[in-house]
Amino acid sequence: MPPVEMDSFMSNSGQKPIHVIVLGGGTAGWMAATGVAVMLGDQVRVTLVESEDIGIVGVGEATLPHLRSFVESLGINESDFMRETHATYKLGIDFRDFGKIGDSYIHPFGSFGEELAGISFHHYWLAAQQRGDAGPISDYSMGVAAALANRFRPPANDHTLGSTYGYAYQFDATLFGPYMRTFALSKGVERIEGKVIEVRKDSETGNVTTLLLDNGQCVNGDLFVDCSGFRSMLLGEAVGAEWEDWSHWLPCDRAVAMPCAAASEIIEPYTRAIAMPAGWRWRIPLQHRVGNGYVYASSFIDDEKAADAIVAAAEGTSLADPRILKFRAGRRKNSFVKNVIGVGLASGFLEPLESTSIYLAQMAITYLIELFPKDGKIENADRAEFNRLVDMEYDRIRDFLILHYHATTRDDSPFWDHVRTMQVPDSLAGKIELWKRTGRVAKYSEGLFYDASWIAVFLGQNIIPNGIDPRVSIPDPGGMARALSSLKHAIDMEVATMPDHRAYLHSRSERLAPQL
Amino acid sequence: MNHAAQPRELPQAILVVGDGQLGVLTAIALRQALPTTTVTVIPSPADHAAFADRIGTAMPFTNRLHDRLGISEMDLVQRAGASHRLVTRYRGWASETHEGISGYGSGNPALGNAFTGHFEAVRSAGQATEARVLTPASALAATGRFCPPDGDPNSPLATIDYALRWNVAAYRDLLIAKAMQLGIQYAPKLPADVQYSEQGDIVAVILDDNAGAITADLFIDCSGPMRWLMSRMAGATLDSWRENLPCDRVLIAAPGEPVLALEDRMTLTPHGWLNEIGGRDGVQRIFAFPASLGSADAEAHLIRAGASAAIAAAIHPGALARPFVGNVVALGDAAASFEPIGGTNLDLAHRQLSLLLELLPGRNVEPREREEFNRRADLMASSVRDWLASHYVAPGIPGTPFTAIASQITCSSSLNLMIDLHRRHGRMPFFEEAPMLPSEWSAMLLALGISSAPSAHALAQSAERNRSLTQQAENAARAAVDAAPPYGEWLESVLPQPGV
Repeated sequence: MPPVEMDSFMSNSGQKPIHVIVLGGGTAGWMAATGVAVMLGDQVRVTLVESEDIGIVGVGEATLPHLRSFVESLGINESDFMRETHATYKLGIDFRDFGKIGDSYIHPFGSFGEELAGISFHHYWLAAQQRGDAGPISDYSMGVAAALANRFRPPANDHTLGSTYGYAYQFDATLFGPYMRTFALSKGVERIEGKVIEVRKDSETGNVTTLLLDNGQCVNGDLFVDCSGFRSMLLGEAVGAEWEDWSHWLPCDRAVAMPCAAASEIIEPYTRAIAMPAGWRWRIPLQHRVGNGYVYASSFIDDEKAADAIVAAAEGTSLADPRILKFRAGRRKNSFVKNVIGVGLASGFLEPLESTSIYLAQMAITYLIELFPKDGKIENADRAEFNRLVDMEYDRIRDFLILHYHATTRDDSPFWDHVRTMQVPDSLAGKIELWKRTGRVAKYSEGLFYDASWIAVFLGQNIIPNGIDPRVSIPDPGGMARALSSLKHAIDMEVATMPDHRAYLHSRSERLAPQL
Repeated sequence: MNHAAQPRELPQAILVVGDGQLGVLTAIALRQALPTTTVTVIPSPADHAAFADRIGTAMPFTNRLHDRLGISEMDLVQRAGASHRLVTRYRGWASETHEGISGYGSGNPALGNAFTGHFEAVRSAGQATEARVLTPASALAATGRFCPPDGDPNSPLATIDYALRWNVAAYRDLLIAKAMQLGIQYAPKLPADVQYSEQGDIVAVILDDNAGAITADLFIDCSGPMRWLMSRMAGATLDSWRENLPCDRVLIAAPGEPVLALEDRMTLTPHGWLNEIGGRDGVQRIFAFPASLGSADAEAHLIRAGASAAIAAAIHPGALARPFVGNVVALGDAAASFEPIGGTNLDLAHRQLSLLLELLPGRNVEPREREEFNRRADLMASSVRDWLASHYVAPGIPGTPFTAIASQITCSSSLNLMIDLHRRHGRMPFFEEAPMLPSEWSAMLLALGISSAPSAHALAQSAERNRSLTQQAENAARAAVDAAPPYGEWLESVLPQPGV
């Protein structure tokens, strides 16, 4: 047995850099390696272990606006990054057939209308709608209007109408990982090729000390970041972080993905999520192709039928055979145990209905950097704080996702019957009840989805409150109607000055990836 | 659409019990939000521990609330003796000779939130020899220069946040004048009793001297810690903070000599703390201490500080578990009663009022909405409790009677977490509804002598980058000083000329 450095982490004097081992070279792994290496500089030495024999999940193609600040803080040039990952801009998600078949609404990055006298816009809108004085709520959102017009320009950095939306990226995840890898290697991250065949732990502390690889190499480290995907080789297997299952609320446990050639010249600046009999399917337009996939519950449809369904539904020539991915909704009860931190799927999984996967990895990396151990010692308090923050993020996203399924009148399949009638978490039930009674959204400043997102989904899925703020009956209805119509007019005018999405993409890069 | 989204019925009448500066402002806010609702104010019996009524200062949040209610800062300066506090100077919290300064706001956004960490990193690396606090506010306070920012985002003063202090009687008069303009009713009779509905809500308050009864849909308790209304509600229970806060007696001195300073002082003495709040119409001096130490030493400290006669008040530290019960909402000291550190009581009261405006009930209270109010109000109050308790995490002066008591307090788990993260990583966790920004909290802890170590991220920054951040901070402070006139000159320029 090769000599093992005893509890090397504890013996770290604080003078020498902490050796961080990242296990897994998927999106989460390279993001983690890059983030830690760039942000912690000479405090760390970063080694990433990956095997070319192990594939990556790599279908997370749609992102959230938060990724922009991550990319920027690493010093990555946006145009370069978008060109290399064949990325497009994303203004939101178009949800179809969720509340009932035939429905369609966009959940934009951005708000609807403006607050007036301290009361949220949607209260006035609901009252005006009752009087027949208002169009759909989507008429009053810059993000939605631009998306529907297939136009894009980055938001202004002021307080004008042009600043009231945000954007994210839609990119080829099989290119994003390698892009981050190249960047990470340029920042001094060391890459080791090999498959882990054994994980060694210190017998006293229970900390992971060494990864033994199939090529005989021993990789010793101080801190281990588990990005091994669903297998959760270090967090789940080695240090035994317990799994909390959420499949009774989020029953989808498989996806079948199939990239297609674009069927038209138009590149939509938004992702589509279209409800299906046993789940939903995504459609993500990239520069060169369109990503498709059907997220389904295997207890309601078998793999073959799901694959047939995505083949039938996808537009454009298919570029690969349908590929099946398996997963389960839930998270590790703790994502920081001993000297192991789970990032990405090794820590938990929530289906990509609101494109949260890459956000969840980014969030964990950010918290790890903020709470990064010093003086060669991991404090319990830091583990506890990391776990508190990660739990809170997962819990709040979970509730928001469940809402998309539960807020429906669909009774056309056993799957929709199940999600419509299931008992939801108390935290979500309380939020729905508050909304139904008063039109108010329970306020949280931490976590991912704020008021505007909840309002978009509530209204988009026909959950109309019985009562709204009493004060909306005070202003003159005629004046409100005029204000609404002038807001819509101003949005339309603003959108008309925005370039076409494809044209804007073209202007930002020397070349667009050719369509396949 | 399946359901009718109807505006809920407006309250027809609201009664505010308590006619101090909090009660009157509450009436103004409600009447402006509900111009068709009858809003009536009645007095409540005098309560010396109603600090939100008795102390003429708050925090920066109040400036925003005033703006929203159309109460102009210039009016307060011209008619209510208002002046600006940019920083608080803490003295004696870490040792007898200790001094530290902290201000408000998120600091210079260009420098980022991690700046404290960077600065500490610079200091520990031996590149800065003195513990200078590099903020424009402290530089202005030290040089006595300031004028309120004019709204130009590029001004070196634009990022500076401040609190006001004022003459309580004049401020209240100004509010009363505004209340009268708005058609708010006033019944100068003390409440005697209440009438309940079958559900246990209050339907009317019966006035003293057979002056009749006032019915309302919603009742607001601004009576201070006596909780005139809440004490008559079956569901109102108090969470005690006695374990968390050491002071339960306060002496409030009569206003002293005028003091024109941009800073206030919080001094730790062997027997309690002394807060000196500057003011054009006289300095306000407040001494807080544990009753078990007796009041003789407290009085002596006040006299040494220059104060004359003082009024004593007893505090029962604690907060209502739910400040909204039935159709009664408690604001200020009625909701949470605690030692008055630097305008915190009125700040919390105004935040609760603002929350009430956000979740304004209709004529019939929706239980879910009330629950949401209580959830958020509880988070606010808990944060205030932690904010106050963090003063006693400071080392204090060893061997004094007060330190012996203060060192025995119990810190909540949230406060322990915060202090621990501050000490080891220079990081402030975010807490929902916390009245103080993480940057303000962090600055206060440093000013109290609770030091923080740089985070690994801060340590990883190059010395060059740290030097450049320090340089930027110094430049920003210098630019602010260059841009501002002497504060006295500015005041003279805006105050009415005598005899005109």
